[in-house]
Amino acid sequence: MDPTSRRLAALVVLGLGAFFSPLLGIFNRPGRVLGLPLLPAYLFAVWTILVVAAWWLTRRGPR
Amino acid sequence: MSRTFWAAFLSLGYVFNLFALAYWTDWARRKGRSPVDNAWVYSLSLAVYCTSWTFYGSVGRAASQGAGFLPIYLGPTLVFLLAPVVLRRLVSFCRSEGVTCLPDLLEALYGKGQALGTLSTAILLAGVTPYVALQLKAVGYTFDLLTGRAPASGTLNDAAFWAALVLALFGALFGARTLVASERHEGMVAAVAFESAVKLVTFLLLGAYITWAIGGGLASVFGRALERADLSRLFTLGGSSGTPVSEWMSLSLLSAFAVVLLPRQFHMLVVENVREEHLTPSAWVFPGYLLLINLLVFPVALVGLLEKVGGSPDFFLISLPLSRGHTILAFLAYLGGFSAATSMVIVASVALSTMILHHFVSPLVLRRWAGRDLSVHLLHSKRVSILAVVLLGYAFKRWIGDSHTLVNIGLLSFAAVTQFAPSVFLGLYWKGASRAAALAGLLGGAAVWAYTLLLPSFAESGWVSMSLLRQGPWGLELLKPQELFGLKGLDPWTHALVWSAVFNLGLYLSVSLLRSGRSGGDLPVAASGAWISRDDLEDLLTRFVGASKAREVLGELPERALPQALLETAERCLASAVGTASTRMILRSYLAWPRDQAVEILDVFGGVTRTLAESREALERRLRELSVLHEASRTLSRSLDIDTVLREVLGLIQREFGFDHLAVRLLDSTGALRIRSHVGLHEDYVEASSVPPSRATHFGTCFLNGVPVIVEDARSSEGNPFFRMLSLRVPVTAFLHVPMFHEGRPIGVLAAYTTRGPMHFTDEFVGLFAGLANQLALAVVNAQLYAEVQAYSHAMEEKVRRRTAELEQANERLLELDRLKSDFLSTVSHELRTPLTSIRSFSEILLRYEVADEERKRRFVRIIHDEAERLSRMINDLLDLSKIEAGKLELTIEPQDLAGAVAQALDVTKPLFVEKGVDAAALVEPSLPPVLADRDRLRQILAKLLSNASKFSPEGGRIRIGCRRRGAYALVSVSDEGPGIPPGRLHEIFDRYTQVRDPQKDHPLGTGLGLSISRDLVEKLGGRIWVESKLGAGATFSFTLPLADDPALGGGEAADGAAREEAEAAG
Repeated sequence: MDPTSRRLAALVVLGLGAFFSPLLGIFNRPGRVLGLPLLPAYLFAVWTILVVAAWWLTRRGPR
Repeated sequence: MSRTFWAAFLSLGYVFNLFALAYWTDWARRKGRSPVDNAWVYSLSLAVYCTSWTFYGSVGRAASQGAGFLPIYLGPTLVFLLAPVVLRRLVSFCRSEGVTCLPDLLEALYGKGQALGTLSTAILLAGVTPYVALQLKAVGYTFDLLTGRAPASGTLNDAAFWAALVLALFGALFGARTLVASERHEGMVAAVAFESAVKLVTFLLLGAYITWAIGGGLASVFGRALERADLSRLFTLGGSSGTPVSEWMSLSLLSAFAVVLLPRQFHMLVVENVREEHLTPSAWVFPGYLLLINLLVFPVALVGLLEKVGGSPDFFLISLPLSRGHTILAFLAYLGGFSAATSMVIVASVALSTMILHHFVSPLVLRRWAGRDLSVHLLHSKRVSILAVVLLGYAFKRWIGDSHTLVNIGLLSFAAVTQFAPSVFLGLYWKGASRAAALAGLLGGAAVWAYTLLLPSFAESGWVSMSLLRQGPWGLELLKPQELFGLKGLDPWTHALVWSAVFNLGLYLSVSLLRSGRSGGDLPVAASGAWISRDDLEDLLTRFVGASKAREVLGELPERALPQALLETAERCLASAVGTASTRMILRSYLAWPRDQAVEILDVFGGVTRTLAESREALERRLRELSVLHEASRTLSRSLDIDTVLREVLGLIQREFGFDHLAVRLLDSTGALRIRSHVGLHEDYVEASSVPPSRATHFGTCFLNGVPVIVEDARSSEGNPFFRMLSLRVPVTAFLHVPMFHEGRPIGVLAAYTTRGPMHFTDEFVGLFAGLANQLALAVVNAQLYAEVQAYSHAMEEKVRRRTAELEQANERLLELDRLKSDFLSTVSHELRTPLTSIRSFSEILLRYEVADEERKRRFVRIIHDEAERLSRMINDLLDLSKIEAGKLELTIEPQDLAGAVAQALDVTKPLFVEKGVDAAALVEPSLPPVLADRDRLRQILAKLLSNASKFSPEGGRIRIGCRRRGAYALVSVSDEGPGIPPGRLHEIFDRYTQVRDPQKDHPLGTGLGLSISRDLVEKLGGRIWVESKLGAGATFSFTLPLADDPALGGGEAADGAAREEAEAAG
């Protein structure tokens, strides 16, 4: 595996941990942040981070 | 009515636009530009994943289950992050195998047989047709919702029906342009990518409108929702939210697999992939698309719930603008949903029709109409299949009516395709799985899927009794479809996922592990078609894919491509057209044709082909022979040792031509043909067959006639004595002797024997063998010459070595002489100085002092006289010595009476004896003849020996002189009773200046030259001198002289050596 693949795999592990591990329980409760409900805000934030990180990791790759 | 018209007009116009776009794309492609060859287009076309179920259903699901709509997109997001790694491998594998659909992939992975492909196609059809129905249903429902008319009851006034027809037409036109699916459907891809853009833009527009124009902004929407308990529950998982955590997990897993394995996804991902590099940007573009299209789902659902718009939450996107009177926006929403539905229907129907063609139609058609031109028929069947799939979907839609919500049907499909995950993903990475395992796993998984998901959904629709769900079949609680084997407390999706994993993965793994290796896979067809030509294949391909395509596919190969390469290309092309299993059948029957059919038809072509094949074979053989010759000559030049050369060349012949027994006979120095080197012969035979060449033997005949002797059936040679002896040990059935020629004359015979029955040696082979034999002959001669040169050079070296040793010895002797000379000089000068010193000192005393005492004076003078005498003696000795050394000694050899000589010598030495009181007695044999000697010298020798003896004799001792005859010599010996000579010094007693010192006296007793001079003189006279002694028991000096009466010894140098030898023998 080349470094980009390894980093992408690590990103997937990060996503799995953020979405499907008991860590989700931290945000799975009533509450709000910036006027938004906590869980949806958290999920969309992580999702955005994953997309941006994937862009960052693959941007030097062959187009 | 006008709204109906506008809605219909808009839909048709939109589809027309798609046709135009697709047509333009295909046109551009033919012009050489490919608008689709672009990573963005590729990623957008993958968004066919977002169907009307996403467009409408997500809102509905969010309204009822909150965050529960998200797993459907989170799973694919994570999968696509790995697109450049995992999916790329899948894509490249499929492209290399000509795989165009999921059943094809399974057949490629697990060997080619029809069962697996047919089963997979059936499962996918069953799993995906409802999904197509769902899309059509959404189109029909939204059309009715938008136009405000009553839900259509018939077929002809159902918008979904017309949509189905138009979409089927689109699919048939742009999804089945040619049969070879490896040529991508670029028009369709462009349309789908366009549709993905449309649905994203419309959703975002509508979402923004609903959130901000109706809901008053994000903060307001969420603020109001959070204040309501029934709405704020939507923002968490588990508990009362409607989405259990287990479902969160299992839906993510299902959708992660579905995003790859759903027929439309697989088709877009694999078949429509222009370059594998496009997968890399898709790793973030596709997840980004999913993120954007879901961004406003929550607000839309919340606004719909807060505003209490009536109707299904699924269609808030249309009902909300309508409730505000914004018809245009409602139309826009309808258009977005329509685009989502149409793209899914088009791609899914094309993908399914490929499977149907490959796994249902082709096998049947090929069995029936093998050998005809099928290209047009196959293309038509594909188009018909597309139409059939879409209409099947419509029929299903009519059948299910309103009983299912959108979401359930979609997830049902997801669960169905998930059953393929073990066999696809494990099959790609694990080589241990078998076809049986894949079949078992698929069957088990599909059964679980049908029982735990399909059956309950039928029950909920009222087609099956609900008691089946509540009490289980036949009242068996354990078999309740939603609580199978007592597994309770899980949502239906997790429940189904667990059990299908158990059965699917369990069967797959256990069957794989129990039945080792991949069964069912055959050797590639290409291996068996070596004779096939480019034209043959073009004919064959034309029958399935049309002439132009066939020419194009084969035209990509180089002019002189090997038959295997042609066949592989044809196989790939056919596989993408009719599926791998059918391809196999086609090629097998095609390749088998010349064997099964009447051969005479092929006579004309066959003859040509055969001649070509033969000449090719001959060329190959010739090449091989040349390479053997080449290797042989390399071996020959590698070594000059004859036995090594022969052994290696025989080994080469044995290896290359498969002879078990080989021999090289060479003519040896005795004139016999002797086996010099051999392979596999018995030593007895090797010994016995060493006979001079004669015509009684085969090898002799070969040698004498100089022509090869070939015996192809050795039974004819049984009378030959040597052959009988040979065949006792080795059951030879055929053999071959060829002469080894060097410069036109035979020097030996090379023989090869085989034991594998009678054999025909071709002329080419005999020629090659003869060539090898001549090379061997040359090598043998070279090796012999080399050996001779070696021997000569060894001899030369030996000679040089000997001469060098001699010279060294001579040099050493010279050095020694030199040293001796120096020693001699220093000793002589020392010896001369001693008497001189006495003479000078006593003469000085006499000169300087008055010596009154006459007696003393007289004594001094006597000392001076004695010392002067001693000095003159020494000088005489030295003169003698120098004469001897210079060879100037003049001897007058005459017969001498020995007795007289002894007496004279005794007279001379008498004073010495008297002085010491020594008694000397001579005993001379009376009849002793005279000896040949120089008179003075003989006396000198005797006097020296006598004075020497008296010198060492003790007071009153005896000296005996004996003379007697010994052969042709007289032996003279002088014995004393002195202290003797130590044995270690006996050999040096005759050396110059060697003195054995008297142990009682310090000063030397003589010049030390006497014995040496005596030895030289005796040897000059032709005799020999030596000494014998025992320490403490006296010494005996003896010498011999030739007798005068022997006529042979007339004196002189000529007889000297012989005389000496005899004397030695005597001594």
